Amino acid sequence: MRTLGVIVLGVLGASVAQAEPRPKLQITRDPVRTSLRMRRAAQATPASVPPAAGRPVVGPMPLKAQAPAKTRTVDAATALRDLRQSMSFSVNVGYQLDGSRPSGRPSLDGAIANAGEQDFATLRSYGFGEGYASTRGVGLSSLSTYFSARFQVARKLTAFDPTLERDVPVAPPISTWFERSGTEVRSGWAELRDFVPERFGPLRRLRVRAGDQFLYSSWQVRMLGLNVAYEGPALSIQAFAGQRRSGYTRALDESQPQVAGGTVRVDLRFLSTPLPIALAASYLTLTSSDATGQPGSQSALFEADWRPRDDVAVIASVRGLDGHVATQRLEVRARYKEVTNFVFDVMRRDEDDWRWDPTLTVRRQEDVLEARRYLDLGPVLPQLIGSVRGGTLIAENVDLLARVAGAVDLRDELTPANSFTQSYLEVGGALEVRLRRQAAVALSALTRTTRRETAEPIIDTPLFPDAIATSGVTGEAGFTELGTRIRMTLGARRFSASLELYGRRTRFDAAYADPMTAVPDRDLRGGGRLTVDAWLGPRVRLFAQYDASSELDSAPEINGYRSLRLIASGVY
Amino acid sequence: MRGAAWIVLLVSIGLAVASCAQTRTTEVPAAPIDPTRMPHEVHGAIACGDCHRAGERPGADDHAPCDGGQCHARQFLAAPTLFCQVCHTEVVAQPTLQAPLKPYPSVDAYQLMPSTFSHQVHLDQGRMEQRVGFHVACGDCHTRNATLARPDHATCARCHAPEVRLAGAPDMDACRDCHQGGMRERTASRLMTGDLRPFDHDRHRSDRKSKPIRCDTCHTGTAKAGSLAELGAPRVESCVSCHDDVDRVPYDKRMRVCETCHRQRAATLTAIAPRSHLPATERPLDHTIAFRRDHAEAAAASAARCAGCHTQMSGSPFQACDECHQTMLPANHRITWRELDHGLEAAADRETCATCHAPEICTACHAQRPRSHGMFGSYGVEHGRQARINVRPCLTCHPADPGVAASDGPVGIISCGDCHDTSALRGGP
Repeated sequence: MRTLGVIVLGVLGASVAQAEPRPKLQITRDPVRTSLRMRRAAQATPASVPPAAGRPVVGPMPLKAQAPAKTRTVDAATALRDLRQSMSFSVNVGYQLDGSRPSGRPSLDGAIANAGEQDFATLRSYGFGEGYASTRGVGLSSLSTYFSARFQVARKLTAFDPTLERDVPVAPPISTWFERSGTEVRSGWAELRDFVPERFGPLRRLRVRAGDQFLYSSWQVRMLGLNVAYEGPALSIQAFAGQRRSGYTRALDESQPQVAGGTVRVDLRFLSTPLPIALAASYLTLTSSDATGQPGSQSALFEADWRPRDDVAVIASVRGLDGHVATQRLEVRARYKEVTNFVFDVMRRDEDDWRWDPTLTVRRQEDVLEARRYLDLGPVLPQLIGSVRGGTLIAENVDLLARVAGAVDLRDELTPANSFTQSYLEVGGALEVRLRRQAAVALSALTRTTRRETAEPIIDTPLFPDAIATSGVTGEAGFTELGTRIRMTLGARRFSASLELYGRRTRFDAAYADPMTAVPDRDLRGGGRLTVDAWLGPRVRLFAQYDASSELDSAPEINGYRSLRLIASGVY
Repeated sequence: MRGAAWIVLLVSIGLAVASCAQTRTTEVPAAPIDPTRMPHEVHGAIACGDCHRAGERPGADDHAPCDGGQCHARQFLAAPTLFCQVCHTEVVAQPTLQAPLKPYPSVDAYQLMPSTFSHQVHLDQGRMEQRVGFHVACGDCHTRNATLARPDHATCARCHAPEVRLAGAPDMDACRDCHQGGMRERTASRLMTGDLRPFDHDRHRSDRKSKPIRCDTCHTGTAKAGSLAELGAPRVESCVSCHDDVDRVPYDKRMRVCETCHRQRAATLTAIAPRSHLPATERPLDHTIAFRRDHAEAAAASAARCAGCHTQMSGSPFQACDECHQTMLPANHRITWRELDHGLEAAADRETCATCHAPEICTACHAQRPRSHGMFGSYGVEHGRQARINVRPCLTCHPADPGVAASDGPVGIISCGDCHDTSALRGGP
């Protein structure tokens, strides 16, 4: 009965409440007038509608009207690309003009360029474009794609050969490798990640990338193939296979070797008893190639990464090639408060190392036309190469970098010296002073001294070919370069301009002597680069760069190099 | 054809795997059912004024009227439960009764029955002047007891209570004119969660030189927000303009001092501040000269940040160095680099060159006849003086072995050994 009574009372109460036609929300407490700081109409800044005249003024007016806040910084920062967008792409279209005009003076050997004949093209122009596109979650939420390509339209440089009675190619004003027109895909891949259902546990960390891509294993290789990776916090594994692709050029794109390999990395910091060490092993194999004439190679990299502190890393690695130790490296990196960095690295390179990269490991003596001959840097000799560098930012406005680097030639006494592997010492530094974030003045200096072999110079015999000097006495003895740069910027993606000037003196070893005419043992030159970068809104960018050198001691027949580069970019 | 076959095969594999797989989904949390919040919907049958009596907070009069109709009398007589936390932070009965009230308005992650308040309307000075004869500023509503605070009903009542009789201003006697139901989630950034320190408005009233800081310096979009849903929390970019200015902020509160806002500094080798935290200079503050030289690990760990400016990048942290390095030239690759400078660097440290350049690019260029050789001149005979200064560039292309003379493309490759004695170079007597 009691329960029934409560229900009845409740229903009655509710019905009464429902029946009430209008809630009585009467606030009897007076408004606190003293804190109601309303503005006088006379001091208001009308926004959209002008204030009505004759209205009573309510309340005191303690604050004066202020200028609107500046929102420029926010707008600039938000103009950055938003990576949460499912699609983004950018397009660059550019035009470049290279030039090198004859000066009318004879070359070092007495010839006068363009003296009645077209020895080289004084101008070279080409148009180019670059396109980048990436998607994420389009079609499949687990799918990401990336595509990068470049095209070029270049005018063929030719001159009429009166002997052959036809046009023949001539050299460009400044050496370059891209003399052709066409399109070159740089990268294009599709990737799946987070596609494995959660019930499969650790397998959901799988990542599958297929297509034209770069690999970073015991060395970086571009390939067209498949890369499968597992990325766990303690264990990461990568396995890949495909066909190697050449980079920057379509030359030798066919008949490239097959590539396969993998990487395993174990981070001991995630053990039940954590150790601040990560161990990694990488393996990379390439099959033999008809295109490069190289035999197959197998290289491996073992790395130990010790982090005694969060901001200190000690990394030791050993790289092997075909079962032999090729390099041993030690690197120490430290950082303090984001802007102070210190790096020390030293590498011992053995004679079993590859000649350039894993695709170029041996010199094949029987084929003198092989492409790698053009890049013959001599036999690999043991070396110790190291550097120490440190930089910091003082008071957020003074940016400093100092660097010392060097190499020690470790060959035995019986092995002839190689010009490309001799000992050197290099000291450099840079300083940039930022003035209120809108201007910066930078200075840089770099000097290197190479220890060449000493030998009696070869005396020139007129009208008779000189002997070629040994490799150890050829090459530059050193150089010194000084530079400065003035930079002005109005902020991210707005407008910036910089002017760079530099001078460089190169010293050469006196491998030859000419009793009739002194052989120059140094050359001095300079140059400058002016860059303007302007954004028209957040999407369109215009870029121009003019790069010029002074007259060249080594090429008095021309008046130096000139280059103009114009680019228009769209970012979406 | 072989490459195309690869692409078809790999794409097919990828699509096959993808079609079998479960796509990635984002779990959207359901609306919270919180026993410590009063469900207005359940009380919808009761007139607002029955509970909100005389402008007092409901329950202020010894829990009346909540227990007046026997609605909640049983809970008030029983031991404290979650029900008590509708109004109290906690209820401790022994040894002495302690039942502090929750702050109001609440600061939970969501807001029930949010009001239809429009900042746009209230901050439109001209419109306000037109309608009511005055206009208001932020502090008029957001100040309570001389402290910045969220407005409560009493704040609104200063103008909207019926007895104020302010012509042109809606009265507060109808709750549903403002509170139409539903729920509004407050974003995580708005609540300053995680390792962020609580934001102290009082310390942001004026800058280092006592210059007042306007509210809209940070709350940039407030004056355009037509509803609370459009009211975004201030973005960190708005902090930068002041916290990067030494005239406004002490050095130890600068933007790059993480502890200004965060309880802990992420002091690792790779941690770099998000781009939004740095001044909108063309180049972020942490892109020092040293960083531009050694940034591999930081870039791999923060690829998404890199891609914000370097728009040619995919933003993927997985094996993406090439996306930038294929297009951004090192500073020393200027006009003299191709013909004059690069050889010295390759001689000093070829591995650095090989990081980006595969052999093909070198051979593609070195296979061409250089400008210095001329086309029709007599360089083949008259090159001695230039070679005597530095013969090494010659040997990069011309083999030393005698008897080698071949052609490759438009230019002839002639061996030095055909004319010169190269025995010394080849290690002979």
